[in-house]
This record gives sequence, C-alpha cells and structure tokens, in this order.
Amino acid sequence: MICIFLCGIFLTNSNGQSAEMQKAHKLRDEGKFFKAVIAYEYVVFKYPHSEERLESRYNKGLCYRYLLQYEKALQELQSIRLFNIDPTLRNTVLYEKALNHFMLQEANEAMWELNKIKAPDPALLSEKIIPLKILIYNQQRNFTNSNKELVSYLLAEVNDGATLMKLGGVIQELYQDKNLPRQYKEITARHWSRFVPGAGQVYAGKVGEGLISFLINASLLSFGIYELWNAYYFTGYMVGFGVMYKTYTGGMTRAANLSKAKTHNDMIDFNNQTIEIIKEIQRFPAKSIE
Amino acid sequence: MKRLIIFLGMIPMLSMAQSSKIPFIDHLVKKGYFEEALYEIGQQSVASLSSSQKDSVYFLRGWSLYRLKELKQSAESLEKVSDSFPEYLKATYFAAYNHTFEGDYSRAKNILKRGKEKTNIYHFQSAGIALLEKDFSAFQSCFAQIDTTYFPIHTEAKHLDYFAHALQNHHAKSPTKAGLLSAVVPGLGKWYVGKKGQAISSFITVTGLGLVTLENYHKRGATDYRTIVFGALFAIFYTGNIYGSVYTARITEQEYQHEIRNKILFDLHIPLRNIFNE
Repeated sequence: MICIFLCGIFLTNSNGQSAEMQKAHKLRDEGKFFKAVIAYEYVVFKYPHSEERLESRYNKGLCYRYLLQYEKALQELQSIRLFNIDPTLRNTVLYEKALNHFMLQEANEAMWELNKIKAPDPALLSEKIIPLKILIYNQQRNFTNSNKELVSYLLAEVNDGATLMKLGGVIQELYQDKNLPRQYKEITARHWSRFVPGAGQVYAGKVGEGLISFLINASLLSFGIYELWNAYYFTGYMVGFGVMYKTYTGGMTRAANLSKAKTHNDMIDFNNQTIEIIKEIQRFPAKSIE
Repeated sequence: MKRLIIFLGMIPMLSMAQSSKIPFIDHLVKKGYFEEALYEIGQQSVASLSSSQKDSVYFLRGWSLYRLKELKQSAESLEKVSDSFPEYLKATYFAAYNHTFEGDYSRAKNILKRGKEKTNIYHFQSAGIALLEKDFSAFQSCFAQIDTTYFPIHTEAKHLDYFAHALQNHHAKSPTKAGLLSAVVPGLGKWYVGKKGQAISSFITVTGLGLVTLENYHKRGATDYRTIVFGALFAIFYTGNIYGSVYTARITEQEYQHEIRNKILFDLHIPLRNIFNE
C-alpha cells in the first residue's frame, strides 16, 4: 500500500498527467521539439492504453510540424482514430492535419480536413480555422470566397469603426482584379515564345530577358538568311539556323519555367499580404499561420 | 518499521535508476523511428550496461543506421554484437553485407568467417564477394558448395552464375581505339563504344563545321576572319570529339562495371532480407 502510494506521488501530478507527459510538454515549450517527439513517443510506449496516448500523438504531430517535417506530422496525426474521442481534441487534430496539408501545397486535402470540423471552440475558430480557410481559398485560387471569408472575419472580430474602415479598404484594394495573383500558364508562355522568340519571357514578367532572347534569335536568323542569300549554304544552314534552333527551343523551355516560378512567387506574395491583414485583425502575431 | 518504510519508499527510485531504455529503443526501431532511436542510444552510457544489454544497443544502433543507409557506421556497430546475442547471425550477415556494399571486401570476408557453421547463405555471400573482387576461381569454389535448390537463394544463385559468365566473357572497349576511330571519322569512336545517338550527333556537328570552314576558305580565302573563326571552331570540336570518344569509352566501361556491381549487391541483399524476415 505504501509503495502504491509513493508510486502515485512519483508518477502523476495534481492534473492527473504522468511525469513523462509533463516532461514532454516541458521540452515542447522550451522549443526542444526533437527531444519532445521522443518524450511523447515514450508516453505512448509506456501507457499504450491510457487517454494520454492520443494527446501524445497529437503533440508529436505538432512537434514534427515545428521541425518542418510535414509528412511525418501528417503520418502521426493520421494514426489518431477520430471516433469516440473528445470533440475538442478531434477538431484540433483536424485543424493540424489541414495545416500540414496546406504547408505541403495540398489545398484540396487541407480544405477537406477543415470541412470535417464540427462545432469548433470559438477561440479555435477565430484564431486558427478561419485564417487557414482564407489562405486555402487563396491557394485554390478561389478569391471570391477568400474575400467574403476575410470580410466576415473582419466584421466578426473588429468592433472599432476606424479600424474597420481602414482594414476594409485594405482588403478591398487587395482583392481588386488587378492585384490578384495571375496564373501564368506554362503552355501559354511556350506558345508565345514559339511565335515570337522572347515573348514568353515577357509574358512571365521578364521583359529584359525577353528582349535579349528576341535579339539573339533575330540576329541568328538574319545571319542564316544573309549567308544563304550570298550562296554560303553550309554557313547559313549550320551556323545560322543550327544555332538558332538551340536558342529558339531553349527559349521556349525557359519561358515555361519562368511562368511556373512567377505563378508560385506571386501566390506567396499574395498570401503574405493576406497574412499581414489577418495579423492586423488579430492584433498579435498569429503563430499558427507562420 | 521505520527502515521498512524507507526501503519501500526507495523502490520506485531504484527501479527508475535501474530501468534501461532498451525496450523503448526497440519500440522506436520497430515503429521505424530510426533517427529518434539513434538519439536515445546516444544518450545511453554503454559502459554501465551488462554484456547482453550492450549487444542489444549495438544491434539496435547498427540496424537503425542500416535503415538510414549509413552502411559503414552500421557495419561497425553490428560487428560488435557478441555470439551470445539471439540475433547474432543477422547482425553478422548484415555487417558483412554493409562492408561489401562499401567495397571493404576483406573486412566483409573476415566477418563472415566468424560464423561457426558454414551454411548455404555463407557460401552464397562468399561467392558474391568473390565475384565483386573478380576472383573467378574463388567464386567457382564457393559457388560449388551452394545448394542451389535452397529456396531463399534459388533465383539469386542463378543470377550470380549468369553474372560470372557475363564478366568472364566481357571485353572492355579500348579508349585508344575509340579515339583513333573518331580521328578518322568524327563520331565513329562513339559508335564503336555503343553510343550511337551521340555518334550521329558528333558526326553532324564536326562535319558540318568542317564544311562551313571549307566553304568559307574557298569563297572568302584563308585570311578572312570568318574562315579563321569557323576553322578554329572546327579544330576545337574535332579534337574535343576525339577526347570525348576516349572519355566515353572509359565511362561506358565504368557504367557497365557499376551496373553489374549493383545487380550483384541487389542479389546478395534479397536473400538476407527474406531469410531474416526484414
């Protein structure tokens, strides 16, 4: 009896949490995420049938996310069975899954997980779920819904009239057609460069590079024609057209790559501007979306 | 009574101090958390462990490193496992395999020889190492002792025999010959080596530049700057193609040897994984 009593003192605290769980939380709070991962797994190992097992798995996923290992975080979160568990934990797990999918650029999967959340806690909803939903809509290029969601969020969170006006104006400006990130299609860029060498680069925003590409191709073509005109058939064909073939096809590939990078970078810029507005609404740095 | 209470109170502390983390490390390894397992092993003071616990730590460390493809370190850890450990054979064969993969054949053979019984898998692994060393007589003597009807190595033994024949009958292409052929006809050296696409491409480029130079020489004269520029380009491409043919012959031979080596290593690996259920 004495032994059991003493064990009880050693192994649990007043909150009913095991000493191992407390240690894991401490490591997580200190930012030692890798050590925390191991400590949480130790809880799972030591208490395989306890309620703490689920919380440990959730926290492990959280630590993997902080370590930027999103696949591992998802793997951990997916091992949590969502039936018959505390609704708050269920919603938090679903949010974490959505966030990791979002970080992996899997917008549809992220939205799928968010839509499974039922009756969320108001704090979770306003601080995490809605901001993430807005960013996912952006990633899906569904700017109408993103705009609506952001305006509703502003109206629900901010009471001060002046701030409402100011942020409302910023949102209106951001979601104007001219400011929305364009989708630069690789095939379009390729076609532009096919018909006018360098035009694909201009389409992707690199005017200078497009101009240089045009001049190189035009010079080689002129050289080829000039040499052929003067009966220098081999020179015209081999040097003029032969080299031009390489610069022409290379230019098309380059234009396609540039348009892909431009689409990606513009979306990052747009999402960063959206995050700034959300931070402004929340009035503190939103950790969850960093 | 007082002493009894103090003693009972110390039980949890004593058990905590004595409890080893080995079962937990084993759990991490079984779950596939190899980096985490290695971290936990790094926290263990091996000197304070019993000999069986040391074996467990060496084995789990070696296995985690093997799964993380750190084969040299893995082999070094696995070969420390003593013969009293239940998974000694597995540790030995995987240590030998890891050394083989790393190209340290003599060390791999020494580890294999530690086994008391010379089993089918021992002869099979030894034959594979002999083949990698191109020691065909050693291969034949090891291969003769393999029971090729033994199911786990049945297919792979056939493959080893095939590779042995292929290596014995293989004649490497001569880099000098490839260079000379390309000097006579641009690209012919690459054709001889077996790179037909490259050969055609080289032929068109070098011959084309040659014709351009010739055209400019005839129509513009030897002193015209265009003749000089195209002539220089032709000379660079012509000599570059000869050098390229020599280089391609060497690379092609290296690729062949590399491919055969990888296939042998693959066939040595499969039976180990099947036999030891990994």
